[in-house]
Amino acid sequence: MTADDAEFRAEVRAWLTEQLTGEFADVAGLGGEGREDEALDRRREWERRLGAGGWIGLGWPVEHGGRGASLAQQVIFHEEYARANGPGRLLHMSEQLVGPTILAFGSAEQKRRFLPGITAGETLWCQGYSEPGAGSDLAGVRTRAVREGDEYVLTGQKVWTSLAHVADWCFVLARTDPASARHTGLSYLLVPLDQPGIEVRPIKQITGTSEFNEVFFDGARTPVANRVGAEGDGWRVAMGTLGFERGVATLGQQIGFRRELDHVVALARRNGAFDEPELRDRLVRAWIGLRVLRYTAVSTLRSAGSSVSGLEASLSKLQWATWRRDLGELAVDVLGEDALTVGESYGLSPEQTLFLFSRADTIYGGSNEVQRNIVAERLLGLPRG
Amino acid sequence: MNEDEGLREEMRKAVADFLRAEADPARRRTAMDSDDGYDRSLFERGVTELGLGGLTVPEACGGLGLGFAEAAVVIEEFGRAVVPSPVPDTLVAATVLAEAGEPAQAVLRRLATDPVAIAVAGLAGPVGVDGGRLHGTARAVPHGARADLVLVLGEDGGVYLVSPAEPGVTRTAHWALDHTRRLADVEFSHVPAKRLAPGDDLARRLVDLVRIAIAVESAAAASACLEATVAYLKVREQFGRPIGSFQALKHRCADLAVAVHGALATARYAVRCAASGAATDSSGDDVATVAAIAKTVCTDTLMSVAADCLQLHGGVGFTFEHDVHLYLKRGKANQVLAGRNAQLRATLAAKL
Repeated sequence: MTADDAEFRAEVRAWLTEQLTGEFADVAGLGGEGREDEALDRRREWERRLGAGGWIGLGWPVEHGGRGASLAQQVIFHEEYARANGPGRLLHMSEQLVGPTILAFGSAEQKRRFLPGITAGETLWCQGYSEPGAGSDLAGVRTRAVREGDEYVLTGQKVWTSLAHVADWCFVLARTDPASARHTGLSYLLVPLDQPGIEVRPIKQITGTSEFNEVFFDGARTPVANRVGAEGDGWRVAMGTLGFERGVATLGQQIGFRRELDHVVALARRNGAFDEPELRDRLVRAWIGLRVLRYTAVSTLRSAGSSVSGLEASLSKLQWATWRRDLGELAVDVLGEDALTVGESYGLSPEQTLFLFSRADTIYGGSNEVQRNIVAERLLGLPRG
Repeated sequence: MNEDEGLREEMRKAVADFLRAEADPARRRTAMDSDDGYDRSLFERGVTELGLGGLTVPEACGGLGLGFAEAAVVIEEFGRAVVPSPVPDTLVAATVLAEAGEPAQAVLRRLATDPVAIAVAGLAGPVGVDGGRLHGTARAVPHGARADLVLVLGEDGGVYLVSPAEPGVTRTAHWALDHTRRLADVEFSHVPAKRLAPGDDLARRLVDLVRIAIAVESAAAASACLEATVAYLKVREQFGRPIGSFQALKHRCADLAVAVHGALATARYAVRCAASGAATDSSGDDVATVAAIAKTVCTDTLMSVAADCLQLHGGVGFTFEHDVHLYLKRGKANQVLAGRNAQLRATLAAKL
């Protein structure tokens, strides 16, 4: 680590500690998995505080409200955030998905209009990609956007839309050419959610809670000026976004994984599970696995320039999502019978939440199977089937 | 890329070219079936033409004065090609001898100029020491029967340098499960030997570097084995198309690629830890911990990659003629050598 990086880490740590033990002590640790609706108003205030502190869009160019921070520094921020037990981020799709997309593909006007709201911690975005008929095969998108004057009129349905019930805007992949098929004829549209013609319905998940939603468009409108990239070029723009999603944030999340593992180990020591050879070996394997995740991230950082390639991101997603799913199962095995009862109204303990929620890790943002196709075809060069 | 990395990449290329020319599959087969169990002339040319023997020997002793990071590059390339050779163990031994300083001066000077193969003995259990004499048997010593010198781990925590020509040293050569790494039992009956350093730091260092070297060669071998398999899947046709287009096989390869990616990162991380001189890394792990992690991860990876690659080759993979079994056997042997993986994990449990 360079002296600059060490100084940066100290600055981040001091700021987060001051906030999260002071004025924002009440939000520390809130809004984690399975608790996404916790203290929403306070967490939106927290996002604004982060924005005011200049911590959103760290890697973005200075003229767009960022700091031009290196990849290493962005990872440091994510590490310190986890270490400080920062609350679940509400603006992560704003900062990591739509923001970088507008930076890469948006017009000067779009950058002026939309980026300041993100770096200020104000605007909450959600992602309108998946549909009932377009999951892993995203090119099957059927939501239509028909041009009427200087507006698009949207009809269709999106699904698995995280945080749509609290978001201000949605970035939507829609079919603007009704005669088109597959990857052509799609456009990337920025759509305000607060309007007639949009209905958001929560989806109850296996945890009993609702973090994602169905979003129905029935005559919803957005100006043509809110299209990112050319009409019909939405696939290319959306693929850029997926690259960002599978990118930098995952490198910094290992502090959180470390906390989860330490917790499971502590439980095992307390209840005697650590003395059972099979469980102990699985715990050691999990511990080793987390070290390997770290060494891999270090290696990625050493070889990466300012961004993480989609390929590295696919390898990393397969690696960590599988690791974490295994940890979830191990947590329940360590607890034994204690893990078999839940609280009133299916209230889950952190270990039960880990067990159930980690099933989503290997599905969202490109399932393990899709990631394997990417690795097999793009890294190994195996032929398409 | 900084200057050191540039040098290492040049070395990597030079060693890879050398092995491609001098250790092609046919010659590798001849070597592994020979009396020595390896190609002595390849070893001698590696020493004289590439300067491998003196790589980590200090310049004051006539060597190149490079460190373990550079030695590891050579070990990686030997691992990729599963070449039967005492070069990796000799490089590890030479690195440790260089760190031993004055007591090893004479042998370091020899290493810088002459082809001297060194075996490491006592990894399967240290050798007895009584009044400055070694007694007992070191089992499963890689290339132990034909080594010019033996570096012995003593049960007193010392490291001893012994010439097998000394009276009282008896070597029993064995053919090995791993066709590419001949083993020997080396018996010492009250052999006077020179202890290289007081304390047990040098012995710990030797064990750590042996484990990291095994990790490095295993990760590299796993990478090469997967590459060869992927190349085969692209050309082998069944049902009218390349079998590499079938998703069941592609997904298997993708999982192997994830494992190889992690193993290479782990092995190289361990090398940097060992070469850095720092007592601990940013997680608070000492070199011994990182070495044990790397050894288990990389050898498990080689074993599982080679096992799957054999399966992916179908019947051809079960033939002696095909090389995939060399990787499989190396993988299994490396899981066992220098501390069985289950045993290393049991030790690591104390770190949790």
